[in-house]
Amino acid sequence: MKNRCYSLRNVFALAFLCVAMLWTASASAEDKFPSKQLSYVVTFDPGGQSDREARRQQKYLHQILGQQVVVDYVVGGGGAVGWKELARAKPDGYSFYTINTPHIILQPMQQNVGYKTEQIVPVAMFQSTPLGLAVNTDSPLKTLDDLLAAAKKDPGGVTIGGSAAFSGHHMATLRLEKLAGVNFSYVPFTGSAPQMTAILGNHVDAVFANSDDLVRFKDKLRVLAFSTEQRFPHFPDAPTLKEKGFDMVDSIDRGVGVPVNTPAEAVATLEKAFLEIANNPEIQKEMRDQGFVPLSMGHDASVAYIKKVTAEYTELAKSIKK
Amino acid sequence: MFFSFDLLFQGFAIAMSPENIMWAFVGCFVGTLVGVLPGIGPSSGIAILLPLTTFLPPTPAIIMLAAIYYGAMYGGSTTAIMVNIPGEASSVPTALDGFEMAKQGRAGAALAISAISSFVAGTVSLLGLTFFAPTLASFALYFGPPEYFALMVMGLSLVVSLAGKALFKGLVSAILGLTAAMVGQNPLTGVGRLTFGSEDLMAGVNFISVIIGLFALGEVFCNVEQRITYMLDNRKVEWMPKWADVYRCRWVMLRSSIVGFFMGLLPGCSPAVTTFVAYDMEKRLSKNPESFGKGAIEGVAAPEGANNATSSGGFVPLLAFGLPTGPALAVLLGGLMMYGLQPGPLLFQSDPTFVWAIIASMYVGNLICLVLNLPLVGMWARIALIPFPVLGPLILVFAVLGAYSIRFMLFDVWVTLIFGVVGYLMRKLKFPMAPLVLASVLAQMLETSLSQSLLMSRGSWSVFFTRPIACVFMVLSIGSFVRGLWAQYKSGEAEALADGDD
Amino acid sequence: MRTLRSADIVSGIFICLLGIAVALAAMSIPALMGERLPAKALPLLCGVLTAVGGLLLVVRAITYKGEEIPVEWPDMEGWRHIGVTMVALVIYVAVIELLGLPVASMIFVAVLVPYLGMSVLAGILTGIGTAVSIYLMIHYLSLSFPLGVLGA
Repeated sequence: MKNRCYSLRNVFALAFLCVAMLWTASASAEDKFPSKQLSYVVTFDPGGQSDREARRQQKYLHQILGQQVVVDYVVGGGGAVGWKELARAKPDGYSFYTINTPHIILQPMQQNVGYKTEQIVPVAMFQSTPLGLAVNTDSPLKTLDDLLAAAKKDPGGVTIGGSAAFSGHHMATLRLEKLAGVNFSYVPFTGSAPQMTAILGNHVDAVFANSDDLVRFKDKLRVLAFSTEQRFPHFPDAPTLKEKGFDMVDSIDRGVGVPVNTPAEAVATLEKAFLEIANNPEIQKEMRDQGFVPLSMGHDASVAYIKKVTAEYTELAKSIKK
Repeated sequence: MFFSFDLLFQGFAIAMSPENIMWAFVGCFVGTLVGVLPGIGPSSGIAILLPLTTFLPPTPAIIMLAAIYYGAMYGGSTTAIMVNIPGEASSVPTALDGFEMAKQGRAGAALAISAISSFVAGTVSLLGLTFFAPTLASFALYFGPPEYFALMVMGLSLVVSLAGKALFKGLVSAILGLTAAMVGQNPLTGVGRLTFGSEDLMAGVNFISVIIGLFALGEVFCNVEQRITYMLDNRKVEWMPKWADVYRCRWVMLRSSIVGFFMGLLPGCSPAVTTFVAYDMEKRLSKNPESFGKGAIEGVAAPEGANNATSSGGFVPLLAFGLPTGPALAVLLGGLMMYGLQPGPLLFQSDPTFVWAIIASMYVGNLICLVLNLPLVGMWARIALIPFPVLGPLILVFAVLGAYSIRFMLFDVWVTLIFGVVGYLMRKLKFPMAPLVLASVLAQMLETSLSQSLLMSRGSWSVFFTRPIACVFMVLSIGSFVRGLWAQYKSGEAEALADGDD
Repeated sequence: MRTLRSADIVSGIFICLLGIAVALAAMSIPALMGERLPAKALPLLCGVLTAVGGLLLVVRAITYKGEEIPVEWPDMEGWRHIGVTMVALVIYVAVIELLGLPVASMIFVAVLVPYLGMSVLAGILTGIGTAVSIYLMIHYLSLSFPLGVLGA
């Protein structure tokens, strides 16, 4: 028994020594940002748009910032789990999280999700997917007018599939309903893969979907309209909703954000790196080919943009609440 | 997509180049290692290892990623069999009989049959992929929300046979599983429910933490209590399977390959459902169904075969349409797109050599996994020789590690601990645990497909009976429920309490 | 609690109470517009079924007429073993983020192995082995495990 206590004490002393050594080793060299490995936290499942953009940027970020950048995942609740963590993360700039509009605006508006839109400081926004309204090529609905006429004839009889409820897709459907004075049945799916499966299998009549998904299934879908200012380059024949007299422009925009109180110097360094990548013509071409719209909004532009979008959705939410 | 022997042979020529074989080998090896870690399933495995492949040109990179994917599938059964930690829901049926076999000293046989069954099933589904992909791919599209709902109901009806004689307690256990899965955000609307004001509960109770808790921790607590010195019941150990065992499982392997392959074609149908279905089917077809759950070798061959067939089946909609059937394939799709490759009929036309090289490499990869895993059997099986006082704490550490690596949230670890206690009590009070796991796995899809179906049908429940595929599944599951209840009724109420001892 | 009958009664009451709590909590789930399946429907159903299940368990146990079946509860020594293991596990999980996985696991293993009946040396060696393997795994797979005191 005595022997045992003795050896345990030895172990503790040894452990303590090791700990102390490591502590001193890590405490040194903390001058210019970034001085150590950074963590790029993706708040959606691997393989999604946010993840693919992060993977695309990873090696460039490493080159520009001169430090390793690791992609991590904090997934759940349509991004909410990650953004809740963002709001509580250490504000040192070493962890930045993917952010999406309108998600970060709509979620806190709907309920208490553990974070507020104001708790997220955008660093840059660099990727956008405008929303398009599409049907299966087998569908009897040839044009937007056909779709609206069908919905007028049978209110609620036309189903529109989208990704999740209270999402950008859902809001776009509601907006179109309001502007066109019709009623659809919005069917939410748990992501773009099941959403696309449903339209390819003719289980829903139409989808409001992200531009990159529409481009991927180009040969199986007929795009009726795009919710953009100008016609979308991949689908020059599809009119914009504006052309058709419905004043709406909807997109899902992606970027990265950090918690409030992150030093301005760190935000500026990250912003510069992200904008340099976003402005790289090669990357922009790659993104366009895949159906994305490259953005290059810095911190200030992103803040203003989020403010503008928040105002729009607040108004929409008010008008649809009965 | 347009199959020709020329293209296939050309594919094999590329896949068999020493360099590509090496990458397939590296992928299988790393995948197996990652698959052994509980909690890190194929999807996080691929995501973690994706950066490793970026320095490679597309063909070897995708060969390696695919190899990681099925390597992880092979590795997943190891912990389920050896230490009763099913690292993911699909390994639960494997653990039911595999761990029993390990305790009886037949770990080697269990591990080997799982590798052989995986190989057979993988190869069978690759044949399906090679020759029938275009025809089969549209199968995935027949399944809309009502069909998924009906399929999930059929999955739930398996509770009846999984519970065995303990039907009543099995049903209670299944309801508890459903209830646990309800906690947290609604998967479609994101509205929090049953969170009792806790922000942590918003993230939901992850079923992998539930599984690790119930199975691994519950088992360790029982062993700690009995102060056992070895996990083995007796020290007579059989390291390798007998040829007779393999031969006995030949039809099991084939049947589970087919079931697994077809269910693998369906996007969103998790491999867990497939493995339970395959397990249940074999139990029903078996001449002595009582042996299931007590170390039946068929009970290991069936789910493992189905699991691998599902993962290969998933390549059909992936390559034919670019539709991933699960998170792991979504990551793989992301990998393909990183190289500017868009899977779909166009890819078969624009880059047939690439596609066929990948398909051919999967045959090679499956073989590599088998060759790699069989010699490892002896090594893994010797885990059973570690004295329990050392093994027990290691299992606990491993379980904590697994729970933590699901989402990197400490909350999941606490959930695991709580379910560890629940698992201990369920063992003592003779509640079957498999129904709880099955129900919690099915819950999300059950709920989303139900609410989607009702939106599509404008609130009418008849949609589940007017669509032919859905109707078939509904009738099958109702039949299965009724049959189970009838059998229970006939066997009489006399053994109502003792029934737990299934 | 000695027999399966009394244990079933106790667990039935507990399950029933759990079901009632779930059902009550489900009542407060807000309804959303445009839903065909009300948001509270399934949670409520689960709560009600749980409560009914628990109740039936109690009824079934009370009306049970067969032979009494003892529950194999552990003896005092067994309880102590389980208790210590659980407490150690809780402390282990509680300090993971503070000390980091490798160190916390090392201490946990080094304490529990001797407690369960092996030599102290075996405990320490296993502990060190565990810590090193976890550290290597975190390092080479760059997982987001807490490194705690080892983290830079």
